[in-house]
This record gives sequence, C-alpha cells and structure tokens, in this order.
Amino acid sequence: MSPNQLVDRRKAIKQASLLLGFTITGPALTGVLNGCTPSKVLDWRPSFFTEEEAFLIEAASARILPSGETPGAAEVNAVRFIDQMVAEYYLPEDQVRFRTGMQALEAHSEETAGKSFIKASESEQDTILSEQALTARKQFLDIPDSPQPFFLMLKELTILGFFTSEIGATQFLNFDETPGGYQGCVPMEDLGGKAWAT
Amino acid sequence: MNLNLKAKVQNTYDAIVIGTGISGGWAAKELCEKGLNTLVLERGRMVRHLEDYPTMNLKPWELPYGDRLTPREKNEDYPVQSQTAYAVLQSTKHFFVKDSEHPYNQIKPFTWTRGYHVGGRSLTWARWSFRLSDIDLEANDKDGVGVDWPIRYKDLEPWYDYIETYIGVSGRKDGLKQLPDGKFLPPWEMNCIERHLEQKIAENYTDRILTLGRTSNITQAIGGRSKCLARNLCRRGCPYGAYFSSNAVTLPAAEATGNMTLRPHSIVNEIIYDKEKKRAVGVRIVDAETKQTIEFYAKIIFICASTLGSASILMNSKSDEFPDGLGNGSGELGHNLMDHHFRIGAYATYDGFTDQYYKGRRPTGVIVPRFQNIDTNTQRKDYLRGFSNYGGGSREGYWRAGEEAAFAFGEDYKQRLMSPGQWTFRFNAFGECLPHHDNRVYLDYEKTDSWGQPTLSVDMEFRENEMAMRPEMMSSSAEMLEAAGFKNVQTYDDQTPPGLGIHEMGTARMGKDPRTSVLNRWNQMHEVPNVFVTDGSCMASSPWQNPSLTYMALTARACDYAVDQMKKQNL
Repeated sequence: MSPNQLVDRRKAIKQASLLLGFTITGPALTGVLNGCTPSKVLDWRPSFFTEEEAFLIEAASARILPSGETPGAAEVNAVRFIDQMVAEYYLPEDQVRFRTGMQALEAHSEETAGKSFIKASESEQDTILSEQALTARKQFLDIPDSPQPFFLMLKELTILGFFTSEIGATQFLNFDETPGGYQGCVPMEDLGGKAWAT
Repeated sequence: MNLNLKAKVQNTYDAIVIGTGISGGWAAKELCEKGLNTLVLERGRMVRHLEDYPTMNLKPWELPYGDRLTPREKNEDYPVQSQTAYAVLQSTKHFFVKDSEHPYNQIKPFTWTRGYHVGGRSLTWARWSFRLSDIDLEANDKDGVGVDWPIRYKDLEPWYDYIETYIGVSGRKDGLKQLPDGKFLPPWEMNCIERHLEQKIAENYTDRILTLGRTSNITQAIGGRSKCLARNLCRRGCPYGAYFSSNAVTLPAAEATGNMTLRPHSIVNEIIYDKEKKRAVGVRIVDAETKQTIEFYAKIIFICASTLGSASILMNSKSDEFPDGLGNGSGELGHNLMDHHFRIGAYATYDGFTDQYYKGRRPTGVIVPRFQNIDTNTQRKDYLRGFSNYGGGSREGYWRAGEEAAFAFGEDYKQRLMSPGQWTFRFNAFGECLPHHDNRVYLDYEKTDSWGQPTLSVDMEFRENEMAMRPEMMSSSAEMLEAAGFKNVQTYDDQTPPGLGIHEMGTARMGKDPRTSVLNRWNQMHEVPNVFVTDGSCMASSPWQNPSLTYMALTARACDYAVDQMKKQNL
C-alpha cells in the first residue's frame, strides 16, 4: 500500500463515519487498516475487491439473501457478480463510494460487535445491517438527490445477481423460457405459488 | 467512354429503394414482386434474419450486468438513446447506433433513437398496429391546421387490409369509428386485473372502453412464420419470425423474386436530378466502408430512409432547379416535424385477486383508445385532437415498490419475494402533436460526420395544443383507476423531449397543393414525379396512433401506383 492510498483510505473512512453518524475510534480504525486477516483463502480472483473485501461482501450478501431451505446469495456466488459489477459496471466515483461503504461496514462491526464483520455471529451481522439500513434510509430520505447509500448499492447488486442467476431464476423462482402463449388468469396454485423470474 | 458506359449499365436498375426499415422493406417487396429489377440501399451493416440475432436465445444469466447498459456506455456511447430506458440494453444495443458515431445537433432537446442496419427500426419497434380513421384524416381540414390530407380512409382501407392480411395483426374488433377494425388474428388475452378494469370502465363510462393492443405479434402461424410463443424478447430479433420485421417478412419475400440487389454500407448522399428530363436519374452514395463515391441509376426512386434520414437526403440534393433541396418548391421540406408526446399518466395497486396470476409474457398491452373530440358530445374546449391511454397490469416481481421493501433484507424478506407481489396497473398516455412550420430540421454543413456528410440540426418543441391536453392525459388515467377501486393511485408526468416517442413524422408532407406540400396523394413528389417518399416524413398530421402500419399501407399503395404509371409510360 502506497502512502497516498493510505491517506485516501483514512480520509475515506472519516467520510464514511460521518455518513453513518458515529465516530470510529482508534482500535476500529486500526482494525480496518490492518485488514481483517481472514482465516479462509479465497478460491477465486476478484477484479475489484481485495481478499478481505470479498469475504466481507460474501458474508453481507449472505445475510441479505440467506441460505436455508431455499438457495440464497451464497449458492449463486453473488459476491462474484457484485465484484464484476463494481469493477466493470460502476463508474469510478461509485467504486469509491462502494469501497468507502465496505470500510464503514467493517468499522461499524468493530465498533459495535468488537470484531470483524466476517467473524461476527449471524445475529450480530443482522443487527449491524439493520443499523446500516436505518442510516441509509435516513440519509436517502433526508438528503435530497443524495447518491445511493452503500446499503442500497449492496442490496441492489445482491438482488440483481441472485435473481438473474440460473439458480435464482429457475430454482427459487419460476422460469419459463418459452411459454408458448399467454394465459391471462391462472390460479396461483397451478403455478406452484411462485413468481416468474422474467 | 465505353468503360463508363459499361459501368453505367451495370449500375442501372429499374428501381432504387433507399432504406430497409418498415417502409423500405415494403417498397423492396412490392417492387420486386411486380417484376422490377430493384437496388435496395442500406446505410448500415447487413442483418440476416436469425443468423444475425446474437442474443435472441440468451438467458438472463448469460447476459452481462443483468442486461443493463453500463453507466459508462450510457455516458459515452448512448447519452441520447439511453433515455429511452426500455430499448437500449445489453441484449439489444447492437440494433441501435452509437450516438457518439452519428452526431446531430439538438437546437432544442430532441432524443433521436436510431438503428443503422438492414431492417432498421423494424427489428426494435413496439409492434402496435393501428389504422387511422377519417376523424384523423379530416382533422387538419376541419381545424384549419397544417394542410388537408389528400387522402381519406377509403383510399387507405384496401391497403390496410392487404398489409394486415400479409403480416398478421392480432386484435379485437371494437367497432370504434375513431379506430377502424381490421383483418385481425385472434387477440391476446387480458389478465385478471385488466378484465376487472375493463368491466369497471364499462360500468362507469359511456365514452370509452378498455381493449387489447393490436400488435404484429401473430397469434396464429402465417406465411411460414410460427405463432408468437410469448417470450416478449422481441427486440433481440425473433427466432420464430413471430412479429413483423423487414428481416423476417418483406426482405425475404423480395429476395425470393430474384429481382433484389441489397447493398448494405451505402450512405445515400443525394438524388441526382436531370433538368432536361425533369426527372431524378439516380442516386449518389458514399460507401461507408471504403468512403468511395458511387452512382446508381434507375427509372424510379423510393426514399424510405426514415423521416429525418429522407429529409436529410432531399435537403442535400441541391441543383440549379432545386437550390433548397429536391422538390422543395413549397419550402416545406424539413418542416412540420412531429412526434408523439407521452410519459404521463397514473399507476396504482389493487388489493385482491391474490390467488390469480398469469402464464407467459404477453408482447403487448391494453389501451383506452382516444375518447376526446370524437363528436359533439366529446368535444373539448381547451385542445384539439386527443390521446389514448396505453396500459398494462401485472403482479410485482422481485423488485418491489415502497420504502419498506427497499430497506428490507433477510430470510423473511427473501421468502416474500418467492411469491408474486401485489397487482399493479400503469397508464401511459400518448398524445397527438400538431404540425407546426417552425418545428424543423436543416443541414449543418460546418459540422460534418465521419463520411464528410453534413449533420442534421433538429429544432423542435411541443407547443400549446400538446401541453393543453396533458393535464387530462394524467387526470383521466387516475380517474379510471380510482373508479375501478384501485389503491395508492399516483399520477406522474415524466416530461418528454420530442424524439422520445420514436415516431418522427412530417418533414416532407403530403398535400393537394404543390405550393404548400412536398408529396401528392400517391406519396409522389409534386415536382419530381419519379421520386416517391413513403416513410413517416409524408405525414400531414400525427394522429395519436403508432404510425408504422400506415407507412406500410402508404408504401404498398405508392408502389402499386408507381408501377402502374410505369406501365402506362408516364414514368
């Protein structure tokens, strides 16, 4: 990491903490800067994310669409889709906001749970994301023309990645590639109660 | 000398058609089938039916970025056309030009949406197919607006019949005098919420109905084309040829005659006029790839290069006889540009029918055809002409409206998305635009494009009459939904810069008088009888209807007339 990047990163975290409405204290800040030293090894190569960021987004997207009896973000590798979107789809300023948001999310976890987000329990992660959602909502509603808050960026990409994936479209929802015609009124039960993917 | 003569013979045809979109494809088919050796010129690349539809069978997970155009592409390549949010996607962008490669000048905001390739916008059109009525064709005369149409419904009716029978138009016969019925294939179905709205409109109103869209998506096999299988991915090109496009329908028919020579990459620069013969004798093109200039010759020329394209060619065809553009003695060439105004209406939700859904993706919507200024009972004080409320009902999918849904996450949220959301309905009203002399285009010779051609300047705005009908476009949408028991009825007005309707019309209007119009009742130039212009530039008014079906009818009619006149040695 070059000194310039370090300075930018400090600045970014400061801005992020302002947006989130709480102060990041010394240890949390240090935690972010040192990275979260995950115990796992990433088995794919991100285009935009660092390894730590990839684990962070993997964990966060898995709380937005959890896996259970039905597939969630994890089964469709939503994190890879998100990495590609941030790398190729986002404009540079959106990339900066996304990265700042990731750092703020990590700082938020250090601050409130006393540990890195990926080491927090699912219920701690949900609490953190709920607080992020509340802050995002406040920012979105209170500040006219404010850019999309990080929580909504993350959520939008998770939803888009999941529901346009093969598993999301064909296993979680109903996918009918070639319907053959249009029937205007069909009882829900005849369609398995599921929404159409497209 | 001999070499030149030989080249001239080689480059000589009976007819030249400029453009391969909806009008050009029809001109090619009709002229070739009538035995004319026909050169068809297209400024863009070749697009063959089926083989050049690279995305037609791609599934959502096979398209990048969830099929969205990236912000970078929007900013750099499609700053204009990305405003038509539904059209330019990852799966369709190859059927639209890059704005950056084809500059034009917006004197006032004008959102020009184009595809330069064989088939033109016939590949990406919305497929709504409506007839004009005498209420439309008589309106200019009655209102004293623009010039009177030189034709009436009886002139068009047999040609509408001919076109609809050939291409296949599905629709419901509604018996409306403002929207004549046609030769229809069976209509599509309404879904539950639309049936409900249809019934409530019937109960609450005597002046209007809700009916199905009339569309060129065929509900029965016709002419070797399969029926539509309700994928609603039409703009990618259809693997079944189940909607009308030049590529699937008219150009194969023209090709089958053996009379067509199709030449892509041919940018027509000007029409060559011979003042001795008082005829056009050919066209001069720039080969888009080699930038070489080539001349082609023919007895008759059909200009079907789209409203703005045809106007550009004619304006650039200057001679001693026609210093202001070919056949422009009237001074109306390039003027009277029209487009529909829309993006206004209302949307709402409905509590109920939660046990009902639909199957398939219907490639059209529903519509409340114009119900204003039809007769004395429906006469409006504040504006002329009128609008129709287009709409559609559906259940919400995984994108859900509302603040709660926006910030929710987790297992319960995920499970809610597995089932369809509430029923919603949206009206989007489309209104007529009056012709106005000051709404115009002209050529800028200072700013040229990559082929050394002058660029087009567009100077148009919607005016008083259009603005005067917009409040009712909005309020009527909301009132119908409220009367039908919808909840959360919300109105919207997203404003429309002209161009967004993608219905450019009027720059070489038809009329009875050569002093005030460019074309006669046969789409023939008043002043250059072997040149015909049959695309949207011929329109003397813009009625609310989607205009393509009328271009097809006018083109086939003009071809019939032109060949008849050739046989009679008049051309």
